[in-house]
Amino acid sequence: MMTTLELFTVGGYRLAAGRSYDEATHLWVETVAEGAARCGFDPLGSETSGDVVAVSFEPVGTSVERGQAFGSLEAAKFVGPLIAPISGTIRAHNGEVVARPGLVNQDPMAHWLIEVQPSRPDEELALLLRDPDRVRAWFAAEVEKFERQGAITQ
Amino acid sequence: MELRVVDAGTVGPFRSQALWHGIASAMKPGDATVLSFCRPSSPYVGLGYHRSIDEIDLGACDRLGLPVIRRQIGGGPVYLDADQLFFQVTLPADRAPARIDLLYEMCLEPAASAFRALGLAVRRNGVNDLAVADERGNRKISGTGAGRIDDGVTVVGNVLFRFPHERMVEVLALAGDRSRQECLRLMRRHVTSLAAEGFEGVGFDEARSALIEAYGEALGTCLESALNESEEEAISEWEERLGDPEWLAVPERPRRTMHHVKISADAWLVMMAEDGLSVEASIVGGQIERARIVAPGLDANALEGKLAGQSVRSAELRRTLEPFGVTGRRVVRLFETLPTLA
Repeated sequence: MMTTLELFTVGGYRLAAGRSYDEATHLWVETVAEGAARCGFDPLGSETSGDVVAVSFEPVGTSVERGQAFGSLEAAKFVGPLIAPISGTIRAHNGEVVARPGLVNQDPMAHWLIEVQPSRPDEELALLLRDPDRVRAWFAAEVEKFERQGAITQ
Repeated sequence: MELRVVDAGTVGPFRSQALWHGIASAMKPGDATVLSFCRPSSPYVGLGYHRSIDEIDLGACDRLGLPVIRRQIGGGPVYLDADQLFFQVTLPADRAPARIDLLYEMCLEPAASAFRALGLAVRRNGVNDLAVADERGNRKISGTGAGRIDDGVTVVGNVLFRFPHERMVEVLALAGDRSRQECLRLMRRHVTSLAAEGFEGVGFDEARSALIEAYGEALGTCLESALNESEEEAISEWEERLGDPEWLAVPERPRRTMHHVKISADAWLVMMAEDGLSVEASIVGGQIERARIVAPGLDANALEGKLAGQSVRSAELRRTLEPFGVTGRRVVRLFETLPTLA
């Protein structure tokens, strides 16, 4: 399904409109065809991860719970879990990102990681930020926080 | 703040890895940071979480009686033996810096200080190498890596008392003797040990004491400690998991046109092949030091000569190889497939 990316800028970072953002994991969620949802990194999640050299995912068909790992990411010899922002069954992996993990750093909003069939969409999508004003306020505060911590350089 | 110090002593290969996996797995928010030590009783080959088993010469490992153990941190194949002291810093994930290079800074600078206290001019090189740095350049003296397991984050390192470069190269799956010789040349130049630096008199206890003192200064008051019950349980579970052939086999990695051996933060051996053209290059400090090109009917000498000294992925590289026509452009394209060498 082709989608046009409508972007807006917060603190120098570009975010996509029409998506939901998970405050805990810095992953975005986009509802696509047939109620499925795609997840990917927001720009702060991507930047603080470092130069990504590998990603791996639980197999297609696996059920994942919100807050549990759906895969792993490697950067600078650090391996960390990718934490699911919503519960569901994994329908697909983005093979392009598996083959070229650096895409996550180059343009995180344009590259999804996995597609899931959400198991509790009404309940869990409501836990994510979608309202543009709330997304802007949250993300601006996160940029400030990460700057204070020295985790990002602007 | 308190820093628990746990010394597991000399343990079997699987336990030497399970130790820190288990400590991380058992860690809870609010727990004290743990500095753990161990030494493997016998040699083995470690493999990073996302790397392919195809990178290891399993025949050589069988012949040498070396088990292969996949670890839940990054990086490529490494040879580990009793001439190394493993140290690990494990802390609750909510106290770990948000950015990976800051995590390494926090957890590896004390190790660099410890090496300096022993008399070696060691500094952090790149994000996570510990290297002797002098007029001869940088020589890696500790392999490091990191990972998050459940609520714990661990940074691991080792002190190389002696290092058998030949054995390390022997267990790598490389394409023939020339590649092996080149890998060995790079490894001898860029990986060192206490003995190679003239510090063969430093023993395990002395190194351990220096690390405890440096980490104590940086991270908290040291408290010698034993493993607790939940750590013991988690370590046993990890020991079993790490020995499971299924754990070793996955995750499967996509086949790529490029294979690389990271020797140190500064030195790489990369091997790329596509449609009958193969390029092997030694890259040091971002420049091609040596290159070997093989293609049917190609007299590669001139091309290889032009590549020597060139920066990787530069516009200059494209200009330099333009006179070589289609073959030159194909070589440039292969170099353009290189990931960030970090």
